[in-house]
Amino acid sequence: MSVDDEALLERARRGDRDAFGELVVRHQDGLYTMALRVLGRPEDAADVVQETFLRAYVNLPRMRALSVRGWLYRVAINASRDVQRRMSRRPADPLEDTEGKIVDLPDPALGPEATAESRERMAAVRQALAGLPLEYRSAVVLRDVNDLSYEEIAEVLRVPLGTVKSRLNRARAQLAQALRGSPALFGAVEGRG
Amino acid sequence: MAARHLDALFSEAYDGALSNADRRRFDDHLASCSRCAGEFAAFGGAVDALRGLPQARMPVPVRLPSSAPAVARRRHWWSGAWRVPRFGPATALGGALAIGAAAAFVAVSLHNRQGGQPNAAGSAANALNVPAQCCDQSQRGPLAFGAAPAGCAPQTLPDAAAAPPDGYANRVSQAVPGRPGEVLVLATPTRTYAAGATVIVYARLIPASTSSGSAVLPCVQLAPSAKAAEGLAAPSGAAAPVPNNDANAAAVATPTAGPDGTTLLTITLPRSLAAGETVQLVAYLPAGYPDAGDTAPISATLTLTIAPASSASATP
Repeated sequence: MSVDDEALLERARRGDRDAFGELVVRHQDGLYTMALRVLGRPEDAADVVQETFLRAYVNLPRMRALSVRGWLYRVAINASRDVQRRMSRRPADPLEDTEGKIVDLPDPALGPEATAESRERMAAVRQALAGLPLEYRSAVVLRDVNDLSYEEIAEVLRVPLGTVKSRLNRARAQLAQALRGSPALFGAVEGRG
Repeated sequence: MAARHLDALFSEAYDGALSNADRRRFDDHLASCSRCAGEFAAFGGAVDALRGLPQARMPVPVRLPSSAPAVARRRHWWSGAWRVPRFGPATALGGALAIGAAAAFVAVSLHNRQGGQPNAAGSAANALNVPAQCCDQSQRGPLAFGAAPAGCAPQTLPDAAAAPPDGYANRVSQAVPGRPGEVLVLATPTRTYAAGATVIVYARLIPASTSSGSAVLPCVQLAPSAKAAEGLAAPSGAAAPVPNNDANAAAVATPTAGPDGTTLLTITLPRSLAAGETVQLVAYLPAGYPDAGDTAPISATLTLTIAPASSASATP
């Protein structure tokens, strides 16, 4: 952490591609994981990250107010919404079952060492997440996957703080409801204890 | 005492974000309300499970305009695609076309940078070093390869000794600059296909020494000439990750088992192509492809000709 994001941003604004490249390196995995958890499909998530950095690159001079991280996540959330909108218009997709949920694709975040149990647990969580409305899913992913603060989420989603709290509470409650009795829950509780 | 349940406070309670007064009220309530205590435990378990998902890694290099950031804006190369973002393999290439060939795009060579070297000279040279073979490819837009599905990333394969299957007469071999003996091979059974035909493609980076036991499967796609932008190949045997966005023309990769376990690719030509048109099939390896350190990207191009449907020899 020798140079902070804002310093890199300043250098990028003065035309330094490498400084921008460093921002890419710092944030691409977090953004990719966010988009993966929001959208469910690895290729869509990669598209979102690519799109995010391109939008960021050409809009550097106009970027104000937010932290670099908040700004990137806002762009990525907007790009994810675009993808989601397109997905909802998409006709039959062989990767989705009849309810439009994503069939259990291998999760790119899961290494080969993952056990069957952890795979099952992850699949249950992903399925539960996929069942949330997009606005809830976005809020809960920003909070619990990317660990953004309530205030950051409010900036990213452009909604009042109270809305963030209520969305988050409903999202988590629905998640808990969906995971009721699932091994995902028990595993996590044991792991926590 | 447990007059009202306190589900509305679960989230902030989990995050430790309640005020002191609310926290006391919450704790008192849970001590006397087994329903809320049970619900809150389940709530916390679910959030823990979500938080327990591992972080994923961006599977493909991010591609940026080669122009400096401040310059990129003034060029307005982005104008069309900004309002109508395009995603997905099929539409991405269309979006790239809309942008035109004004700017060259290069991959950020991430692997070279992760050491955090403050001296940028070396990495800058790498990032901007796009050899001629790939430049017209790159110029087609930011999403030309950046949008390739995760399954399209180069893969290391165990069949180093593999050569194109018998009868793959339409082929090209591209030597890899600076790596004597290495060749990028791209081959199809024939040069002529009907529009809409499915083409089986052999593509491989074959190492100089076959004793190393591994070759690399490059990313293969149709070069986005105006009418041929929809195709994208995915490795046979992988779950085909390419959605069929356009019922009329979109190319969808389908798994195909090659002879002797050879990994082949399939790609479907757009139906909109007219007889006599040609399309370019491009095999591409990004900078720093597997086992190649900081090697520059390479590509090989093969031309396919569209024949009238009656006379074309399309593979089944």
